[in-house]
Amino acid sequence: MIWRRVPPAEQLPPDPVTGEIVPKGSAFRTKGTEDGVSIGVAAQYLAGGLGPEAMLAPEGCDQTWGVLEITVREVRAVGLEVGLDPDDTGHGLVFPPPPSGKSRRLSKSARWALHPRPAT
Amino acid sequence: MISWTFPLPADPLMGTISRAFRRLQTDYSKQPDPARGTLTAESPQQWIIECDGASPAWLRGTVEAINRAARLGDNWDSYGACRLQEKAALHAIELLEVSKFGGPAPAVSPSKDGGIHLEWGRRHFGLELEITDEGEVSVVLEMDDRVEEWSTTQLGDDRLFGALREVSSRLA
Repeated sequence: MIWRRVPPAEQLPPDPVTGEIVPKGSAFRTKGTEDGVSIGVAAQYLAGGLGPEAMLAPEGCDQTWGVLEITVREVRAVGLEVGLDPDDTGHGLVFPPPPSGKSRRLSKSARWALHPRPAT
Repeated sequence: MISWTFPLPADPLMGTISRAFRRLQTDYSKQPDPARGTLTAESPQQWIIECDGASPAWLRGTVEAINRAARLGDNWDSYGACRLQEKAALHAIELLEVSKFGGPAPAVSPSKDGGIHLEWGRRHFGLELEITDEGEVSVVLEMDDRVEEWSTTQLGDDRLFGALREVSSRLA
């Protein structure tokens, strides 16, 4: 399982009926200069007794941010790979940088490991 | 603190955009930034786009959303994304105008490289546009369990105009 932070700007407004917050299709997109999508390795966090909220606090992100989770199997199903950072076992990359359509597939099929609080 | 700038700076883009829009200069650097989701973010935004009050509600909403997105500083996603470039925002408005789009308003954010990202729909149906400051447009359309993507210019193409009409038909 891998985790990815999602800022308020990459969340669609809550559904007016269900209140559900859905990530935008760009949640797994990169800058042109990046080698892949930066992700957290859930197993490493959990082994250290940390949950997805540990993805947010060091970056100064508040509760309006969410953390998406998706399996490595789901990443591979769209033709991408997951690589681990040899210098930081809690960090990895989804590579190569996904084109927009694959980014959308990942974003929309991912689940919230940490649900964002609606921004006021 | 808002100050008007008249006459408008010479900008070839502005001649092709509705006169309903004017640019303002503003300084948000001392203000908190609720859109960023933190209390410490800096907001270097130096421009906003103004929309004529007589414009349709969806267009006013779009311009308000662009101005909110424009207040996000660099690294707004915590992964090093760039802040929204003004020309990309103007290209987005130009595209919606050229295509005679009739709403609804999209969800707006910067794209990772400083362009603008517009999205309509939710799961299973959606249209995404990413527009660069040079006017290149990347399109992703999800419809009937298929995801298509292609590129065009800020002047759009028939395929994109068809997708925008589909958005209006399904969501307006």
